[in-house]
Amino acid sequence: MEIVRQAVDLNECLEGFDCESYSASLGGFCCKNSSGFCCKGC
Amino acid sequence: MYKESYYNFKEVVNSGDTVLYNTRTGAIAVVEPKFKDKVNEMLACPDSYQEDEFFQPLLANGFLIPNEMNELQKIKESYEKEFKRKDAIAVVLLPAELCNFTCEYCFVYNYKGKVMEQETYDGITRYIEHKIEQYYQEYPNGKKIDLRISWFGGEPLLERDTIFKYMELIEERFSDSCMIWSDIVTNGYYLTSEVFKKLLAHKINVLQVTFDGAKEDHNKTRCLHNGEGSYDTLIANIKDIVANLNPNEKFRFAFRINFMKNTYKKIYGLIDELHDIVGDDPRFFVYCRPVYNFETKRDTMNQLIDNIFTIEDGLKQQNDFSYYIDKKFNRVHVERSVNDYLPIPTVQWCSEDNEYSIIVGADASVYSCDSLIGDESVSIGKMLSDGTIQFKENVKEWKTSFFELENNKECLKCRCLPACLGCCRRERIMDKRSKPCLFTEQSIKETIQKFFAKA
Repeated sequence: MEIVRQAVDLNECLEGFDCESYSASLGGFCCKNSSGFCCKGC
Repeated sequence: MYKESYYNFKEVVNSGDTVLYNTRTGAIAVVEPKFKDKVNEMLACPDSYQEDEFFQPLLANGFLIPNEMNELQKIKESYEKEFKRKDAIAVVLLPAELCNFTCEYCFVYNYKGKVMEQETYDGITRYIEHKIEQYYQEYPNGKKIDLRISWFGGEPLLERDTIFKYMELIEERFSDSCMIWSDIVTNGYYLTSEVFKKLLAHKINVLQVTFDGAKEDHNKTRCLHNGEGSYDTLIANIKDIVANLNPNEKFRFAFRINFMKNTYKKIYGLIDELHDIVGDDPRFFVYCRPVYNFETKRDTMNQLIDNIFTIEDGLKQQNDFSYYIDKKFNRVHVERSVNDYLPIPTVQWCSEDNEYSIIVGADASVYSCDSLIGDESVSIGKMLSDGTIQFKENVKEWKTSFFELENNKECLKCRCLPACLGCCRRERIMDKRSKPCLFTEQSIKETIQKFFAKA
């Protein structure tokens, strides 16, 4: 069995607006999720 | 005593491997066929396998959980911790509710055609001051507050000199009490290397520009008022920025590519072109999203409606692009990124889904959704010059925890909940949808089958 993606530590997302720690890796301007569904698209 | 997580997905793919995916932790495991039965038994009766080598990895990654753990309660706690944060202030400013482009699909609800007045900037400054005062009264020894200033529009760079001046004021007033973060979403037309450097110098170091496909397609939708396309200018600006980059400069620069049924095929070529320009520099990244059909007060969207993907088909195509981008830019798809195929858990669906975020329009109208800007009838209040917000009655439905909403029952039972937390609040409120899904259990299963299949 291979773990190909480790469990995400949501506490990381609760600190700051640093894009490096955002779950979306999108920085401050987007959702903290991977969908990007409501990313601002203009 | 242990049990299997409610949020596990188990899919056997074409190679015979079993893919385990957990939406609450985001973890993914691939189990070879020879261990399939054992892992299934472990998940069904974990207490009998506590000495097995697979037990700890399954436990550490949330596929197995302690019997007493209430996973839904954990999800709620994470969400509400973020929703009710007191040590965060986020303001999206619309310095110009006008634009030099005329994109037909623009989701801005209505166009105001004005720039933000000084009185509104002053109100926002006082609003931030009040919030800081309140926080330190409650937490005299509290850490620095996270203050996020986002620039959006219209086209914010039409007002770039005002933006720079305001960022200087923010730095001067609040850098002692706040960690300041700032970002901008721009169409890129005025984003020369010189402007880019000024943005970084003013701490605006998260940027996004948007493409609508290959040159011909981009120029059809993203054109100036005189009908002239903007592609060449945008590409020239990016090349100018790259040519004058300092390797030590810290920033995140996103190229968002919008796609529709009639444009998506040529987008692979655009991704190649962007890679040729920026290479593997990790400060740049590309992601693709379908154009969504947001209702606005204008009817320009109607001209495009036949070319807009359904949510399901758009998500599938988005995943295809993600795969291509990851390979092109040498990025491993299992890293946490916006291009992940399988969603990662989140603490909020949308950056506005919390008590600490507001959007302030050029005329001081306050909104809670960036797709509704430009029309006071859908605003949640007004920013007054003394820094207080005169909220309207509708603020309750926008600023209430998802877990306290009446129409959340179906979502609370859904195994996708940790990845969406109720999804889009606008669709829930304006369209009265009790389950405005992007991900579904079925789409997750299909994604696993597609991206973990072996040729």
